[in-house]
Parts: sequence; structure tokens; C-alpha cells
Amino acid sequence: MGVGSAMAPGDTLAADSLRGFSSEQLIRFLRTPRGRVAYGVVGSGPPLLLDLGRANHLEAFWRHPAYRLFVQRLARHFTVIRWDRPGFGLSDRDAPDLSEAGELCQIEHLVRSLGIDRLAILAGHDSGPIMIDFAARHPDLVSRLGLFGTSADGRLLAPSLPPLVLETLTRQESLAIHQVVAATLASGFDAQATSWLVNAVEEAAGAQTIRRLLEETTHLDARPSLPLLRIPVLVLHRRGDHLVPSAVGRKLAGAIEGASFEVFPGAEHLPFEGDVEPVLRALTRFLGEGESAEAAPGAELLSARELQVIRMVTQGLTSGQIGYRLGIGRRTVEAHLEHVRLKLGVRSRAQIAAWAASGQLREVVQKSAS
Amino acid sequence: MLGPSVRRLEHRGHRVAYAVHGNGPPLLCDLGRLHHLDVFWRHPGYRRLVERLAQEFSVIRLDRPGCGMSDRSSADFTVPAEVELFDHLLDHLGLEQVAVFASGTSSQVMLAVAALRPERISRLVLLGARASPHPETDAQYPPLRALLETEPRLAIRIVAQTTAAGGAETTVDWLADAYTRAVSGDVMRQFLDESVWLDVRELLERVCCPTLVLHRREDRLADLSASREVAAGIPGAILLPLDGASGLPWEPDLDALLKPLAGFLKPDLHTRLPGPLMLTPREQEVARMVAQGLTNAQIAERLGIGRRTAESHIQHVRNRLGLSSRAELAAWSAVSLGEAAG
Repeated sequence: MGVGSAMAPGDTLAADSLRGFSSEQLIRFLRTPRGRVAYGVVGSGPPLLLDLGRANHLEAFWRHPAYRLFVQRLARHFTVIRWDRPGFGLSDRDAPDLSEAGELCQIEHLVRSLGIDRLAILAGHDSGPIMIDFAARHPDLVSRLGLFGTSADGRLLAPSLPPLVLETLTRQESLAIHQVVAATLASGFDAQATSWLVNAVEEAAGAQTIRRLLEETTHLDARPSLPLLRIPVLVLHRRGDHLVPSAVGRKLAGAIEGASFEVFPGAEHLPFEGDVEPVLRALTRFLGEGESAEAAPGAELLSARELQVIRMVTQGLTSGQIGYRLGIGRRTVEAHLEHVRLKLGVRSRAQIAAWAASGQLREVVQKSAS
Repeated sequence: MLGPSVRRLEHRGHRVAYAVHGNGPPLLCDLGRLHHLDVFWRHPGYRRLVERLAQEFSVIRLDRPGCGMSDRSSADFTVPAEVELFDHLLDHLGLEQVAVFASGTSSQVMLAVAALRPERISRLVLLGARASPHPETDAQYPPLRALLETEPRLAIRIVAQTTAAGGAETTVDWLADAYTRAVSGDVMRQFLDESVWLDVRELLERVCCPTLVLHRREDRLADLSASREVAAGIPGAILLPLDGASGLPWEPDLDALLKPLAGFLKPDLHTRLPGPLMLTPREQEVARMVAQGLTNAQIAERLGIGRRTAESHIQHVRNRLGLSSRAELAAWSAVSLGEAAG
């Protein structure tokens, strides 16, 4: 699959120097067969694709303080990537493809264009079934999957409106259909948050696109993919969710081998409204586990000299200083560090230090001593 | 406080005024085409912005022909004239490339320059950019133009109000006054005639330098769809929405602007060295002698100046060029002043 962007691979998440200076999102555009696709990046750390629903608009959602805060909290631990599908938000709007096949193709394009090996995904509402399918097909691209307020069966996610009603609601580009969708999603929201969401959905897409969205959502069915999921999955749900009852979430978790289910107080269908603290705790715990757990496998292979070098990196010494202390050349130190990076499966010196600081260095040393 | 000295460039038989502040790699700071080097410099917010940038860059500002401290007898705001002026200014300064920060009325034309002179702009930061005419130009420009004929002061105030939208009333007053000092009514009219219909959409694809499009969320002149059009059209560009309404970069919050601005421009800090004309003739002479391997004492003797003075010249040159050692200065001189030295 061709990457239509003029940027070098890996540069797409770049502007690292820039991200450190702003808690605002940086928005970039990919060139794809369906036009330009906008994605927003905020924060630093391991990559997390946050996709809480298809009716999205990067800026209109970001303007909502509760939403922004939710993302910024995640951004303390992760490089949070959000996107607007073709047809929505800041992406080109003339060629949406909301079918299952179209979605899978676009998501793969997005993920591969980001120039990263693997990412975690948190999906909500109608992104849930799509991301289940995506993760089942691409275990090489997805490390962990969080599913919030969703179902594998699309019919449970869209209001079932008779074709005639849909027709009436979308007549003459009126905003009636936006209001139906927003009112559905705002399940459990207070009046102020509901009114914001109505505006955001109105800004997100034209009436015909919203209509296609509703029609296609009822056709989504990821149930066949559930037994195929081979990555850690956490299903999250609010107890009082009226739109998608928590029993649906429990059933979803039960159908995925090894999946956990966590239920939270409140009635909000979307995670960023209501009591977000317990949700954020569960998410950072689950999504963050991958880091150390996956870095560990090669740790037993570290040599005594490599462990010595790691300790000095943790103390903040430069390669030159380490070489001086150990009586070896700087090049040799760099070679040691390269081996350490390979064994731990990390990319940077800072990640080596973080790995050591997380207490795992001690563990390895104790193990090798015993 | 003393402003920086204004220098002049002969361009098409007219004198163009420009100023250079600070040390480091060159940054063309183009914050509006209706500009006046001195009047803007006296605005505290504007000056703070330039001074902060000047801590890390050699900030270049200019008045276009017909404006400010440049020759007022003729103006030309068309894209070909802008490109020619840009080329000439860089040649005059001995620069192959500059980074550019452009806002407001400058941003659109600098997009065109970046597309037409891709090899001469290293990085581009825009604030309040549009690629196509404002959708209400058809309806709003003709009455404004008529007003310029009959009530020029009122018309200029309206232009200021639009640019500083969301800013304090005093800011609008100041900007209207600054415009009045910067250009005559005729030049203002010529400027609007030559710029309000400008459409650079087809050029966006050809902008190939790293580009940051800053957007103020409440900006009415360049709203989200305008900024989005610019960022989505330039390959690899970054769109960064910020809080605020004003098209004036220093309002409302200078830090919120400067952090991403400097962060974006920084990767280039040590990769591009400014050309020799960033230095005074005496500084160039000193730099050449360093390249020839002369000691400070020898340099002082040849120039008939004190050793301390020679040292301070060298220190100043190094600061200005952002070089950390004498060896780097020698290497720079050999490359940049090589021919002149022979």
C-alpha cells in the first residue's frame, strides 16, 4: 500500500520538539485514495490511537473542555493520535466510505503512515466493532485494545430508524439527523454537554454522510472476529449506560479469550463526561502495562557489562563519561547500548533509563545472582 | 530604548528599508505588508515579540516599497514583485536561505514566495493564513474601496478593526494609526486592489519546506476552514490551533505563540549559517583574518586597533553567527568569505 505523504516514514509523528512545547494538538494531513485525511497528535510516550466514534471533528471535539482534558490526561502517558475519517471533520468530505471494508483499509493506511511498529487502540461506540476486526486481522500492528461503551454488533449501536424516517430527516440538508445522532451519543450527558455535542456533530459532517453512517453502522458485525483476537483486551462500560447497556459489554468481554471487563459508576455513554478518574486509572493501567511487559523478554540476555552500562545511563552519564569510567572507548559504549536496545526492544536511551527506573533492572540483577 | 539601525537596499531604483536584530540563523519576520519599521517597533507587544525572537535568530524585518521608511514614490504588491524583492533582499544579505515567519496580509504572499522559491525558504511559519480570497470579499470590498475614496480614515480604521479583531479597542486605535503612518491612502488602495483577490491555492502543492500553520480559534478573517485549506494543501504541513482571536501575533498571549514557533524553527539552528552580509565590513575583515590563522594580537596590529577591541569583534561575530568556537568561525569564513578573501 502506497503512502501518499511526502514525509519520510517516522516523520509523521515527528515535530517532537514542537509537541513538547504545547498541550495543544498538532494536526497533520495524509494523502490517501479518499482524499486528505486529518489526524491530530498530542502528548508523548507509546502511541495510542483514540477513536471514540466515527462522527468526529478533531477541532470541534477538542474545543469541549471535558473532552480536551480527558485526552490531555491520556497524553501524559501516551502519544495520543486521533483522526477524522474521510467525510468528517477536517478530512476531505467528498468521498466517505463507511463500510467495514473501507474502514479497515483506511485505518491500515493511517497506522502504516504513522511510521510506528505497533500501537494500542482505545475504541468507543461505533468504532468498537471496526477496531475489533482491525485488531483481529492485524495482530502485528495492534498491541492492546480497549473497548468503551461498545458492542461487536452494530445493530446495538445505531438507532433503528425506518427508511422513510431517515429520508425525512435528511431532506434538504437539514440538521435534524445530526440532532438524532447527537442525542443518541449524549446518553447520560447534562444539558450543557448535550448542546455542545449537537453542535460538534453538526460541524462534523453533512446530512448525507451522517445518514450513510447510520445505515452502515447497522451492518457492522465483528462477532466472527472475537475468537480470533490474540492481544490483551479490556472492555469498559458505565453501569447506567442507557444506549448500550452494560450487559452488552459484559457479554462482549466474555466472548474474547482472556479479556477483562470493568464497569464504572455513571450513565454516560462516552468516556470523557461524568466521573472520568476511575476510567482514566483503568485505561492507563491497562494500556501502560504493555510497555514494561513487552520490553522484558530479552532482559535475561543482558550481559554483566551491559547491566553496568545501563546503570550509568540511568545516572545520566554520557557515552564518553561511561567509556572513561569503564576504561573503554565511546564507540564500544555505543555498541553495548545498541545491544541493550535490541534486547529490551526499546528505541532510545531515555527508554533504557525508564526501563531501569521501573525496577526491572533490579529484578534482572537479582535473578542472575540467584 | 534605542531601536535597531535601519539599513537600506537599492531595489529597482528605489530605496527599501530593512532592519536586522539579534544573533543566530536568519529569520525573516514579516508581520504584515502595511508595515513601518519604526512605528511598529515602538509598539511594546510587537517589540517584545521581535526581541524574544532576536535572542535566537537574526531577525530581518522590512518595509515594502511604498510603505513605512522605504521610498514611498511607488509600490507593487503583486506576486512577481514580491518574489523579486524577496530574492533581492536575500542576495543583498548574502543569504541562500531564510526561515520565514509571516502573519496576516504577509502570510498569503509568503506562501506564494515559498512555492515559487522553494530553495530559498528553509522553514515557514504562518499565522492567520488564507490561500483563497475571503468568501465575503465580493460583497464587502467594493463599499470599503468606495469609502477609501471619500473617508480614508474611517476605511483604514475598518481595515485595522478586521485585522485586530477580538483585540482591545486601544489595539485597534494603535493599528489604525500605524497604518496611517505606514502608507498613503493611494498605496492602501493599491494594496487592497492587488491583494484581496489573491488566490494561491494552486501553489500550495509546491511549498516543500517544513510548514507550521498557526490558527487562532476565534480569528474571523482567517477562520478554521481557511487555515485548514492552507495546511491540508501543503504536503506535510502541521496545523496548530491556538486560543485567541487576534490576527496580531503578539496578542493575546505571546508565550503561547513563541513556544511552538521557536520549537518548530529550532531544528535548523545550527545547520544553516547566515551569509557574510549579516556582518559589518569590519567584522568580515576580522573573520577573514581568523580564517588565515592570525592571533588576536596580530589581528589587532594589522587593523590598528586594541587587542581587546579585536577580541570583542570576534566574540560579536561568533554570537551573530551562532558559532561556539574560533575553529568553527575559521571554517565558516573559509566557506562564506572564501572568494572575497582571495
